[in-house]
Amino acid sequence: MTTTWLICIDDTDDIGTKGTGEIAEEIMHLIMAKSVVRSVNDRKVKHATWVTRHQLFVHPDIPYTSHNSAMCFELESDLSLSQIKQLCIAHLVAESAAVADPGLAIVDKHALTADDCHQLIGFGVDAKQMVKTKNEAYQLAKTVNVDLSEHGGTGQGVIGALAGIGLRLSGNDGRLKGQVSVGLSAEIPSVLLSVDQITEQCGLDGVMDVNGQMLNGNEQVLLSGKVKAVFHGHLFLLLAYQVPDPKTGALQWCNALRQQLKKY
Amino acid sequence: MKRCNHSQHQEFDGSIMTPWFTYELSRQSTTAETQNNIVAGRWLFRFDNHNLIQSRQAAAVCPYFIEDDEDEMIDDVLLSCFNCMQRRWLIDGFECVGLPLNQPLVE
Repeated sequence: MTTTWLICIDDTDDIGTKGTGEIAEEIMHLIMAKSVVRSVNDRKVKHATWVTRHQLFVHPDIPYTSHNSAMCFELESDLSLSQIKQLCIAHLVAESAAVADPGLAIVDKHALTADDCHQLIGFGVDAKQMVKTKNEAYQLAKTVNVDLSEHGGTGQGVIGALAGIGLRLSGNDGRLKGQVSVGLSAEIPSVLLSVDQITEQCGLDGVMDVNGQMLNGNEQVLLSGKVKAVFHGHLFLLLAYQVPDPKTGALQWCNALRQQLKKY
Repeated sequence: MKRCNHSQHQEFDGSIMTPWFTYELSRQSTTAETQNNIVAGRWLFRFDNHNLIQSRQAAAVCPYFIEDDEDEMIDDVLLSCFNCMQRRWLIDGFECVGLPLNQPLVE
């Protein structure tokens, strides 16, 4: 018997320390290693699971380090809540910065009702545009049965941790942590792949242009630089835009620039 | 990771960054405090969050640039304040927490 867990952490880092995304990924791999069943995204590519980064509100009343983002992931495991929580806490405590205020949220995704999801998504959306309090976070967590806990400092990270769960549930927020591997290197700075090849090789769900339109499977995309993906419509998607080919003038799909990814 | 070497610029007061950053005192201070540089302030980027050109020009001369986590970068050109670990995003801009917290001699 397995459970689909949503796990989110926030406020673990400081300038010059290991990033929250990296810690989230490490926790995910730790849990996967102890579980019989691996990630829900483990379909074609081993370990091809995704941590999503969710941007939260930046405001003078919020004590974030430099960017205020939460990191969330989903996985399927046969471990119990207490076993998973124990793994998370041990790693959070070991890896968080001394001055951090780490928060941890864990929930059985399929135990959430539609109303629970609605409330969590609302909290996440609010946390992107207004100051939320720890009290609000704990109250909601209790109502919807999210296991919410703090692990050092002021514990303010519980707000972002709960918001990250909500934003991940929304299916329409965040960039994927890290880069999509398409075989680029110093010797191979760019590669031309079809949308079908990209989804096959990278474990992504598709390619979407910056205006929200999905590309057909046979469309060709020139991939170079940092190849990043976003979470949109409950899908993991490569973001692309069109530019004229310098030689022929024909429009060519390319992977999105960082500035275009910024709004996700 | 590109990192600055603080030991090489102990005497740096941030003056060379004033084309891109303005120094704002954190609270009302007395003249004596200000003259003696004992009131800490903060360095605010003079431009908006979309000004890639100024962000890159500033980072090109800044001795305090530290490459941020890859997931937090928003400029495709590495050497840019938008990609620096020491920029702290604000609602409509960012402050630099890497520049020394003493008032610049020239602004």
